[in-house]
Amino acid sequence: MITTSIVPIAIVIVFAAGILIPLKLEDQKRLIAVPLWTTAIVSVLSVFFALSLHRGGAFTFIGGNFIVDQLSVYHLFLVNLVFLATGIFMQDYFSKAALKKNASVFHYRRFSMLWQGFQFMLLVVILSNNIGLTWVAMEATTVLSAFLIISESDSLSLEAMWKYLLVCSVGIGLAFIGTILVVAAGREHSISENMNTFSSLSLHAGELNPELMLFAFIFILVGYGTKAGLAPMHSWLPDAHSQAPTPVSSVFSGVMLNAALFVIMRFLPIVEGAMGGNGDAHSILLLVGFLSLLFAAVFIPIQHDVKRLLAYCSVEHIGIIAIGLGLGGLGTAAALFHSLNHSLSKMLAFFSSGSIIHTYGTRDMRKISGLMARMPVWGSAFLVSMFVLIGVAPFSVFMSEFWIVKAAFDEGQYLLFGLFMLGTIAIFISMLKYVLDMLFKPGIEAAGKKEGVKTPDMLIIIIFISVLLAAGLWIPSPFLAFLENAASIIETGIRL
Amino acid sequence: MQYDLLILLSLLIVLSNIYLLGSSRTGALIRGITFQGILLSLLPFFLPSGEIGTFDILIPAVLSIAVKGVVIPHYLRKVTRNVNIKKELHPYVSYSVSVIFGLLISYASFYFIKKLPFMYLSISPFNTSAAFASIIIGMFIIATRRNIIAQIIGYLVFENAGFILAVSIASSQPLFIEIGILLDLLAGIVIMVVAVNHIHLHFNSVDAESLERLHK
Repeated sequence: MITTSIVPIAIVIVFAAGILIPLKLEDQKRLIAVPLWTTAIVSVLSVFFALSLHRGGAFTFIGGNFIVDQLSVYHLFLVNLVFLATGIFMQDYFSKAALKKNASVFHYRRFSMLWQGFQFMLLVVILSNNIGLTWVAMEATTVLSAFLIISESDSLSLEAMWKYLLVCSVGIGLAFIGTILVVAAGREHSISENMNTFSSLSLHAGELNPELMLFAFIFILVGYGTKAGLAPMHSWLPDAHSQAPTPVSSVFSGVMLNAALFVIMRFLPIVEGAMGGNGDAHSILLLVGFLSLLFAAVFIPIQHDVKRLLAYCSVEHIGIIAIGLGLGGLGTAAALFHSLNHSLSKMLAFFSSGSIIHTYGTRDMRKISGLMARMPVWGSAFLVSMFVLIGVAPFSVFMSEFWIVKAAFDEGQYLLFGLFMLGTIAIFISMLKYVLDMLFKPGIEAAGKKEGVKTPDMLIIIIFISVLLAAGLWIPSPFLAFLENAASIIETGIRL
Repeated sequence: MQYDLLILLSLLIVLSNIYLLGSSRTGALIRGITFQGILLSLLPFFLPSGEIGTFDILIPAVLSIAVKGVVIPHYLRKVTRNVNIKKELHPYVSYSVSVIFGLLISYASFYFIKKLPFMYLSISPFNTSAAFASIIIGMFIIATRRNIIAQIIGYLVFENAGFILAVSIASSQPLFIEIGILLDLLAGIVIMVVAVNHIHLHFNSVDAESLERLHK
């Protein structure tokens, strides 16, 4: 009762307050602090969902339009975690690096309001059970986040924003067509019952028109895949990630891509159910996953901009998650685990590269050297995050990639196994080369004074690295059981 | 009678697409998209099951006319005056080729749409083929025009296609979803218009060519 009525209302009120309060504030520090408070309160409120889920299993609320199950709670916590960590990092980041050289209160206010609107819409995407509402909220994330990219306004970021706005709007438009086709399939099945929800669609998945559902899935995959940054629809991603301020890149990479993939995960069992589980939808996911890996492997070696490098690295990891989903079985659980690992390590990478860029005043990796001497703390954080991202043992990314490799091997997909190894190793080598040069090559500027690190940032670094290390060595069995439950929702659909 | 009107509307939508493909003046583009937006908003009234009086059909239609026929054209005209662009001179593909492409696509989609295995769901093949043709024509306009206001028009054609498809095979959505979709569209266009103003301020041009420095 409390969870299904009071908590959602409370979350809406918190966001409404969070979005309106900046109108009354004049102080830049406070404007940036508001989103952190909102996130903190919402994170606490989210615990109620997890508790109710633990007690009574999956449930829907507000007329069946929202749903809480293992899959959505997992992503809910991912969103909260990323916004919390980024919120903490943001405080120091914006006090050092102004949004613009002549940033006014107006810019901070706009940033603070849009940021929270964007976060709210992501939560709606995660919790929505209605396929139309999911689409509306996803399109809203595009609209609200476009102006976050140009917070550091210059011609390149304007260009990146325009590309993001146009490419993602068209992509989400294609997802709309897919959604319409799914609604049509539902109406064909039953006019009286409400067939616009994920839960009712998965209940009747076996009775839906298979050809129509496959046709719809292609639109949905291309549409939401654009927003997820799957190749070859990823063209907006390197530009937006590289031009946006670091906290924005961090949430784009950390959760926005995952939220789009999450929607695909919701549709996957319905489509497979309609087609009698013949694996066609999984094969399409495998194809785009490998394409993403391939694009990343080709483009990573020729990057000079550190944030573009990280953006292509996101394409790689989203591809890996898609491959895991496409393999099914153990691969599905691995894909979910990989989402968490990727978000954590990518945030750490963006935070440290953001600080490095601020200190060196350039994003060009060829001009950054002697990092270890000048910025020991952020330098080591950067080193570790890069090691994690390229899949060095014993960190958790290695673990989830290992599961995916194992899933491919167990299913006898030796070609996929080989391609996967080839792609990741190619990326491993090319990224390592850049990183080692940046860190250890003695630099001209190495004599500059050492950078201090604020306590909250230090805490983030320590916690992230220990979690990434711990999760690679040992996964607590309750968490593993939870992951398997969430994976079974992707495999067989929602069962209320 | 109603069915004939439905076909007539679909035909007019196809014709408005062709008009947009052949227009170079921004003013003409805005007139074309306004006309198309109002036409689509009327579509639900001609559905076999549609009763004009019902609340669930009337409210979205009125809102849709307001958004697509009044508010969005108003913003587009305002930004056109602001950036002072009347005519686009050099699109990537010439206007006559664009028109031929549009005619071919419209014909091809009508021909192929009948082969889709689920066409029996659609209220008429004319509607659905107009929708699929508009998807492609919208993307074509986005890809071939250098004037970024024309690109916005292309996006609108593309969005309209989704609306036609929704009406022709999925009937109506719950009211709050319909309103959500319209609000998203409106917010998206407002943001794009603001972006055009920023771009114009920065580059003193609204040519997509000036937005091509981020490569690789």
